[in-house]
Amino acid sequence: MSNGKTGRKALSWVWLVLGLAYFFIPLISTFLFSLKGKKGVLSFVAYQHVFADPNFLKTFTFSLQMSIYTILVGLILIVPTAIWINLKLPKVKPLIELFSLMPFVIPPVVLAFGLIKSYARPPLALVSSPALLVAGYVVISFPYIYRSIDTGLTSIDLKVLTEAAQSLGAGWGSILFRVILPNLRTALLSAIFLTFATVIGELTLAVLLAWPAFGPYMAHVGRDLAYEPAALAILSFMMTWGSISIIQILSRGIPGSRSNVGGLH
Amino acid sequence: MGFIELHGVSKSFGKNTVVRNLFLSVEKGEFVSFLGGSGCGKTTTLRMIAGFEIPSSGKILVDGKDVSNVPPAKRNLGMVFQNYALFPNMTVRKNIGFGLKIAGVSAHEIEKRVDEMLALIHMEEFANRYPHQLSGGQQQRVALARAIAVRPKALLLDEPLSALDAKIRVRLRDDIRAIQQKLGITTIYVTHDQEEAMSISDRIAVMRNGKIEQIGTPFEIYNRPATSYVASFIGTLNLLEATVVDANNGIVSIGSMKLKTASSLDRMQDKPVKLTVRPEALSFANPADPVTADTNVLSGTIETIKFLGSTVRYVMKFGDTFMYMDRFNNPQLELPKKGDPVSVIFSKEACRILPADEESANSLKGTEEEL
Amino acid sequence: MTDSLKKERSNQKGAEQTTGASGALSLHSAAKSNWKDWLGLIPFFLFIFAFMVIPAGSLLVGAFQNRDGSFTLINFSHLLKPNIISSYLITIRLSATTALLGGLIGFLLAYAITIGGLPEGVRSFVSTFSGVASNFAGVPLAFAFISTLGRVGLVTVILKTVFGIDLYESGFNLYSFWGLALTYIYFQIPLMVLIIQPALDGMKKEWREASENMGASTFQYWFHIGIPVLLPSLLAALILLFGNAFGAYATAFSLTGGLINIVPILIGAQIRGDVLHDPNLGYAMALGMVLIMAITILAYSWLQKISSRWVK
Repeated sequence: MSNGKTGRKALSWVWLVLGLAYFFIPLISTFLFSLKGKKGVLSFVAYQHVFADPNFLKTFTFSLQMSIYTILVGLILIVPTAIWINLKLPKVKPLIELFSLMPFVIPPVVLAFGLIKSYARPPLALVSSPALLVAGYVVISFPYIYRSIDTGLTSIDLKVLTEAAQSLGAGWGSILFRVILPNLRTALLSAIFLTFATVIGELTLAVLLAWPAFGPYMAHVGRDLAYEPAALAILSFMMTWGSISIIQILSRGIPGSRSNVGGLH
Repeated sequence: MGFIELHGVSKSFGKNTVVRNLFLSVEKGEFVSFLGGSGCGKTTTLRMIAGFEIPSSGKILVDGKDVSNVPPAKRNLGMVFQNYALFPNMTVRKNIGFGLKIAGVSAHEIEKRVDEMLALIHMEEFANRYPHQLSGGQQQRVALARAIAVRPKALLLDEPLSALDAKIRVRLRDDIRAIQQKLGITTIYVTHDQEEAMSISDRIAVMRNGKIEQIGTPFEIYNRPATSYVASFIGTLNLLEATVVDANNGIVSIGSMKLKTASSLDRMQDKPVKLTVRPEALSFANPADPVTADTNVLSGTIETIKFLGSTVRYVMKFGDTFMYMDRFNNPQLELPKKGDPVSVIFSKEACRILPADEESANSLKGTEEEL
Repeated sequence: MTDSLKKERSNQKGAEQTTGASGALSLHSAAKSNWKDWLGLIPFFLFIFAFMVIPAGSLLVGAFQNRDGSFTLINFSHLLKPNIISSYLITIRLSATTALLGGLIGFLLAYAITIGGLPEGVRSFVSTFSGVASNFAGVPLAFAFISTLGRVGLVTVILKTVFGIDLYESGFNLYSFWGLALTYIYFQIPLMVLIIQPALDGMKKEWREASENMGASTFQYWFHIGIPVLLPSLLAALILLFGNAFGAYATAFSLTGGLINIVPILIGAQIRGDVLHDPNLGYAMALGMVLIMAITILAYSWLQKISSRWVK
């Protein structure tokens, strides 16, 4: 019934406006707030302060490094495993999915606690090495990386591709690098940007393992200053937006690749 | 006055007009099919009758009452959807009883009526299954039972069989017809399958571009198509470009051949027309038969033979013109070879002359694809 | 939870492909699978063991030890202290509140962009935005809400100067339960949109039409068909939202700096040695958190079994 349909549509617009208001009012407020660094006029002075702070660059570089390590370790660990499981041991899939539940059951704060307790003392005094932080980040981003890759793998017919390559005389090396990985490009990029978005501003592990990362730096700035935190919030929102947009653009039009971009905190 | 009437109904979506000024009257208890290709407006028309779409203009009357602005929930018309649309969270019994429950019928009465319905569709033992545990054919039976359980004023079916296998399709359409006859329920049936429409309907409305091209009994539609579109849409057909050479005597020419027709060709002298003749109207000429004033005899050669099971289709060439002839199969039949000379005969009554409107020229191509 | 999330998110096409592919593969591997295949998983399982199993196990052990390392149950009796119980209750209340409110708003928004008939462009915008907003949490989100609803936040100021409503006079405080809840809801809404969207896409419009055709009202449709069909997905989504808030540390930490004693903040304090430093109590609290999450998941799978008995 068109009357009903029209009513439904009108109601839909109401929900949309309400939802978007919740999304955008804080963003707009933050942006305007970030422009109030100079009294009486709107200016980008808060942003200048942010960029001028040497700690900004230092902590951001540190977090960038950590995110690169996390991406590398995560991909090297998870990509071959996911391919192997899809190809040889599909019955293990439920078990892996159980592990991808783990970061949910064991929140970062608990994970940090466990890592400190396990690796604070010799023989494995890793707590003073950034390796432990990276390991924690890999655990946190494991569900995203695994899900992206697994979705990518199921959307290509892995078995047929592999057999076709084998029948053409390809060895495992060329199968992996010339056949499978090129077909997983989108999934890999999704995993990379999602991991980046997760790690770059991460606070919990960084603060509890006591690393001078970007997340703790932002928290610190927030305690001491008024307008610079708003500028930082806008910058980091733009970074997240950039990462997610890239994923969305990349995965557009690829079947079965609804990107898993939702974040857990 | 019909039981369901459409008065000048039109429907546009934006700039796109899908139904144009449609008039139709369906009698009580009648089974009418809307037949046509995709985009001809048949489903939209059905959805307007059901109330899911509002006509852009025109009126729809059910049982003498204007329902054009009545919401679907208040129309009391049973609808069966192409994809069954059974509620996945309800058992067969609950699905069938849903409309009754909404209508506030007592639990005891619902039970009784659902049992009747289950018996009607021969699915008593499936009462407590969930839809996903049933085959497509079974799901559609349940959907049918669900639609008629509330004793609607009329039953509307939107391509109910098109998602099913060929064999089940034939069986289920016979069941639908049998149930419809038993209940005497007014039914409108949308389909793109001409064989289905012919076997099941009292009348067929052949639709095209949002209009009814022709409406009539299957017999009329098949034997006396009003347009070459209808002629070519239904069954296999020889559709030949011809020119009227003797309007008074109904004689047309195709290439160098002259054919007699029973049509009156007033004011058509020297005009191009289309001559149609069904393949089954042709037969081999017997040299003993006298050529009368009422028969056409053509001589040509065999092009190919297509064995279709119960019939054999001869594709023959007469000059530059190809024609089909269908004969019943029989084991003693000796099939000719390509190039063999043949002579066929058909009566002038079997020839039907249609106006040569260029739009309908998708015909012989269509029939060839069908083979 | 995450696997249900995965199921929710992989659209139907993807799901069919998955079953098709894994079905074919399992045939394949049934013929060939042998112990050597398991060797390929060793690096992965070593990692899991080292950085998931050992840390979790050490907390489990630590929860049953005193400072000297001998066995005790005393940590669990400390859990029963009123302040700790109340912090669990607040955390649960916060998680449940934000899951329900964020879930409701997110559901309505997802409804609007799927079956609500809004233009396709709106849908892809909201989807993308939800991806961003659900990842926009922690410190920057806290800043955003301080700029909005803090004492000199824009909305606070506008309400005061334009509408004459003084939020803080009337008892609101961003650094209180409701302030935290409003902030959490910011990332709960988009997460709900992302999770529930595929389920809403799976709702056939013919179900609604069939029910209308049989005389059902909109309410009756949702009561008898819409909600029951969506219930398993809704439960899954709400549980995920609950857990999402329950484990959240960064947002609360940077917003309230520890003013509200939610469990993650307390555990963090134990680690950082801020107040009443007692790691073994911390282990017990962490264990309590894990237990609550585990119970939630069990409850969820049980509820889902009941609510989805008609599903394939």
